[in-house]
Amino acid sequence: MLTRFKTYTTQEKVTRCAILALAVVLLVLPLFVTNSYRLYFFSMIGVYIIAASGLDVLVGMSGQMSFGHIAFLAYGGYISVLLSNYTGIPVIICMIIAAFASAGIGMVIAVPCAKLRAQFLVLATIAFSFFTYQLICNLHFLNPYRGLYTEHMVLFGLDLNSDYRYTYYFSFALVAIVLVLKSLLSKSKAGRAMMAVRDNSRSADGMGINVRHYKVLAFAISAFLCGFAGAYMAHLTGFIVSDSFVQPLSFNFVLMIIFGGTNTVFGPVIGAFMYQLLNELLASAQAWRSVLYGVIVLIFIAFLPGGCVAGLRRAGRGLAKLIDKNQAGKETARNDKS
Amino acid sequence: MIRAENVTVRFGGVVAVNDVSMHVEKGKVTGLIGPNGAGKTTLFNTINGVQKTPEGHVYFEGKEITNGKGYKLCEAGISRTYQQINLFLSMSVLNNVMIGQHCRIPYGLVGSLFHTPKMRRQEQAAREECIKCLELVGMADKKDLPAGALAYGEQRLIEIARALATKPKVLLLDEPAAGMNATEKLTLNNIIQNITKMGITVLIIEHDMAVIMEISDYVYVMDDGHLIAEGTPVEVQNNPAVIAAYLGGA
Repeated sequence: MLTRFKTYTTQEKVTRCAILALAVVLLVLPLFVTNSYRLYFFSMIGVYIIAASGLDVLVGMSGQMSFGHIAFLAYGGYISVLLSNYTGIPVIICMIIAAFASAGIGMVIAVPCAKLRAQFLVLATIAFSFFTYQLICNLHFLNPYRGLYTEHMVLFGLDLNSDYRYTYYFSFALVAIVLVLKSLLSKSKAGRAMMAVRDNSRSADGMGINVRHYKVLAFAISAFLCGFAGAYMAHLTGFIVSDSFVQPLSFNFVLMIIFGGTNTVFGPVIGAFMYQLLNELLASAQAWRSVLYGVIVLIFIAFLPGGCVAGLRRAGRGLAKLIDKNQAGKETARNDKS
Repeated sequence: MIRAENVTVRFGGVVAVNDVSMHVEKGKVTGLIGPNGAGKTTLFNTINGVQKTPEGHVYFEGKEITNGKGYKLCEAGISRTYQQINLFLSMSVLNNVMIGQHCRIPYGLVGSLFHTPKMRRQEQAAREECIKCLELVGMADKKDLPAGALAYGEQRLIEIARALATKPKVLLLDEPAAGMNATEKLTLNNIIQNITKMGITVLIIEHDMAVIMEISDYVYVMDDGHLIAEGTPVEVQNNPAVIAAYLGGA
């Protein structure tokens, strides 16, 4: 592994060191943060990262916009909760089943949606999330207004809900898996095909890509991740209620990927952290919060369209150049001496 | 190889292609020339399924492909370049060409997500194939640049490499020399000759008479939607109807 590390360019080394440092900091964090609410808060960021990564597969990779992805969190959440409450299947397995079910729903939605152009697609996704919310509100066995209590997540005999340190590490592991898979996807045939569809669907078709197939696939993958995030959220909070799934909440995930940067692995991570932090910081601003969000989004779109990741990349490139220069300087100095 | 029979394409009241029949012979370079607006690109689009038409038939290797789906025709062995550059501009040059290999790479979603050993092998083979295609057009050293960063003429060459990566039987080139300078045109001639040596049939639309006369074996001439002449380059060059169409005489 170390020998492989030496073959990387300085910039790649800088990036990898930064990622490693971030991972280490996050891994040891629960040693210092023992406040249960804080740990819950961080576990929740995991939910957001998974959902935002899912949305990013659709928006960043395949170029289809959705303002209705909260609906997939709803499907994932309710399916998992119903399954675990009524059948006694282990919760973790229920969550996975719910994610697959959500992906199936995503595919059904995607088949007509794949034909729609930008603004019509957005309208269709908004309509879809309104439909979903109304559906939940009208299914009385879901107890939509008062909510349902959910089962605890048990992994190999360990009750994750008993201590938020456990959910913290569970979030960490889930996010790591999602990020690795997403990065692998972007470097594969399917990921390339989605990006080709995004850049130029007409010539993608001419080059042998079944455009419709990959649009539907992107929808399914994003619905899978959002469904899983929804299921995890329901079991993490111990409670599920229809109000968690109103359409405007879809915008939060769009905000996260705009903050972080679309079609990047770490964009949703940075975006989710930023969103949660802003939420906390702006909590006292109340009604002004949405105004501030609007201003921040405009600033991002105008000055940093690639999101924070683009900015960090630029910084990383600068740092790499500085290191290279420094090393070259040292070498010439050494050569001069000898 | 490709046979078009009585193809007619209408846009509202305009007849862009009017009852055109042509035949692209296997292993040869067939030229398609004509003034602007003659309907050449529309005919191309009809062949590779971009343009649908209820009138006429197109056959590929004896099978009817009229109004076929673009991606399926590409799989069958028809590839093309575009008059307006149609690259994936945010992707690297190599990834653009890798898109061409898409329909020749067998692994599926599981391979894409988990990078199985089988996937890695196939991906490696595809990458080598793409680099060969880039070498053929002399662009292998630019493989890591974003496609949008290249000059116009270079982008055209990348389009050819991408089309070659689909392993076509027939290659449709839509004005490949447009926007190229004299030296680039010379390289282009060489490239096209090398492509035919690989056994790939070529159908080429071109404005530049020098290019078309030098490389094509057989030429069709269109004007105002009609086919007005066909024959060897020399025959066509001396055809009075062609001269009239090009010089605007009566």
